[in-house]
This record gives sequence, structure tokens and C-alpha cells, in this order.
Amino acid sequence: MIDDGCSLTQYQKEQNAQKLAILEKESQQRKCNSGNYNYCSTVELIAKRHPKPVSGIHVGYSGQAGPGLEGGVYHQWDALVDWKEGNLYVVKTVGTFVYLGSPTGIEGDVYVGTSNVHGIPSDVKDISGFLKGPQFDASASVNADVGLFAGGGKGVNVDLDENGKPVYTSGAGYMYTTESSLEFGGNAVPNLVDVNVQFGLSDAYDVRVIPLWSNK
Amino acid sequence: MNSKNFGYIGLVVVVVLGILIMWLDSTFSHEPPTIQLESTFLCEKSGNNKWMQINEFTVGEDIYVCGQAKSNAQDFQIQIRVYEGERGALERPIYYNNIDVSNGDLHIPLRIYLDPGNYTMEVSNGRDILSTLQIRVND
Repeated sequence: MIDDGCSLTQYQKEQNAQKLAILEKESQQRKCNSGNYNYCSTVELIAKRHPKPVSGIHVGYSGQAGPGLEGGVYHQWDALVDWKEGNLYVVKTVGTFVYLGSPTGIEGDVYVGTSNVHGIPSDVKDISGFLKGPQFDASASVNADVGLFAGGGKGVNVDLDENGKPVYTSGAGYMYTTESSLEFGGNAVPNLVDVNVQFGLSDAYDVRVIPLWSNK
Repeated sequence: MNSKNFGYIGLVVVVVLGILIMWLDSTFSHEPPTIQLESTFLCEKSGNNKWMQINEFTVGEDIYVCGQAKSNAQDFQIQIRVYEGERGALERPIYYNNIDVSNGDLHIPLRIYLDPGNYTMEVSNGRDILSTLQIRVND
């Protein structure tokens, strides 16, 4: 084989470029591992800070009234399990809402359902600090209504920090809670079918921790 | 099984679960730890191993957060987020870290390379913001 020198130089250039690329990649990897997530790939972000599974049930009651535009208040208990750490969190929430939909005159109801919390990073052991605080709520429900009513609804709560801004963690995403509920109650205007949406603000004001299979 | 029976069973399950949770709550529950950070500032280690308050850094310089942690728990976690400039409502942090800390003096390294500019750093316990500091990095 004849080596003309020129091809060897080209080979060396390519080798040097490859070495530089490897060094650059290693440097980025070190920065990513030390917490600088600008240097992490999407896959790495998800692997490091994926949201931990937190879900459970809720029960609550609410009342509302108003001429035309209706508004109300609610009080809710959530029992949420951190399935990774093995802790049960009992969260009390109070909220207010504006009601848009079939007129009720005055209404009271109880409801029960499931809650699923998204966006809490998996490396946080005690999540009580994430569960306590203000929320923006939005929900919709459909009920069969003959004065007494029963039905179901879906809702989402966007969790906010104490400055009222959404909580975002790289890899875990925005923090929010999805809910599905069954509702039972009574109102002053039987519409046969009630359809409505609600928007409001709430505050998870009390959190208590019950260790289930966690060692703390 | 008709839908009426299904509804009754669901109701019984919810009531039993509710009683179980109320019993667990009254018997085994405890308050989560309260966490406070006092006198937090940006700092760096001087030549004689003392921590000095620094408000402006140069590119590549080590940045630390100094302060004092007080909690009714011995060990706990705090989160640090760094935002470019002032934090907007939907702005995402360029740096996040979850750190194990204990009561007493804190010297937490920010393991991040920051380009010249202004940054906002928030130290939090979940949604509770314990401290907000401004970082300026010069060329």
C-alpha cells in the first residue's frame, strides 16, 4: 500500500475532529450530571427528573348561588399516595369558583372521585411542600337534574407557587392535577340536564403525612 | 350486576376508604417539616477559607449560595432554580437541582456555567419560595 502523506493528514484531521467531538460530548455529559440541564438531552431529562406517580381519591362539598352569573365555594379533602416513597398525604383545600352553564338558582352538592398529580420530580422525597399552596382550577360537568341531581365531571388544577406562577421542573414538566368526580346534590331549578364549566382559585392550606410503607 | 348494584358497591368502597383514611389521619399522621432559610446571599470561598458575600461574578467563577437553614427536621431537601433575567410567569428555569441539606450553615455550589448577563435564582421547598437572589455575571 502506498502512503502519499496527504491521505494520512486527512485521516489525522478526522481523528482529531472525532476526539474533539467526544471531549465535547463528555463535557456536556458532566455538566448535565451536575445539574445544568441546558446540556441534557430530552431522554436524559426525562430519566433524571421524571415525574413521580402521585394519585388518590378526593371527597368534597360545594355550594353556589347567584342571579345569572353564579359563583360558589368548595371544601375538599384529598388522600394522595406517593407510590415511590410510600407516603399518604391528606390535603385540605378551600376554593371559590365562577359557574357558567345551566341556571341552578341555588345549589349544594357533595362529590367524590380520583385525583392524579403530575409534575413532581422523582428525586424529591417529602412532597408536602409541592402539595401545599395556591391553584387555578377549571372543570366541566354534566348532570341529570330533576331538582335532585347526579352526574360526573372532569377538572384540572394548575399548581402555582407562592408568587402565583406555575411550577415547572425540567424533565418533570409543569405541575398540575387532573380529577374525575361523581356529583350528587340538589338545586332550585330542575333543568333535566345540567351542563356547566367552572373556573376558580383555591388554596391547599393543610397537608399531613402518613407513612404507609415508607421508613420515615 | 346491574348499574344500581354497581353504584351501591362504589358507595360502600368510598365510605370504607374514607373511614380508613380518617383513622390513619387521626392515628399516624404528622405535620410536614417547616423549613426556613435565613440571611441567604451569593458567596465564594476566599483564600483564607472564609465565605465572602459576592454580588457580581465573572464567567467561569464558582458560585455558591450561603445562608442558614432552620427546620424542625434534621435532614430535608430544598430546590434551586435559576432563570435568565427576571422570571416571567411561564418562564422555564435553565438550572434545577434538588439538594439534601441539614440544619445550620449552608454553602451550596451552583453547578452551572453562566454566560454574561443577569439571572434570578429561587430557593424553594416545593411551592414555598424560601429565598430569591439576583446573579450578575460579567465578561
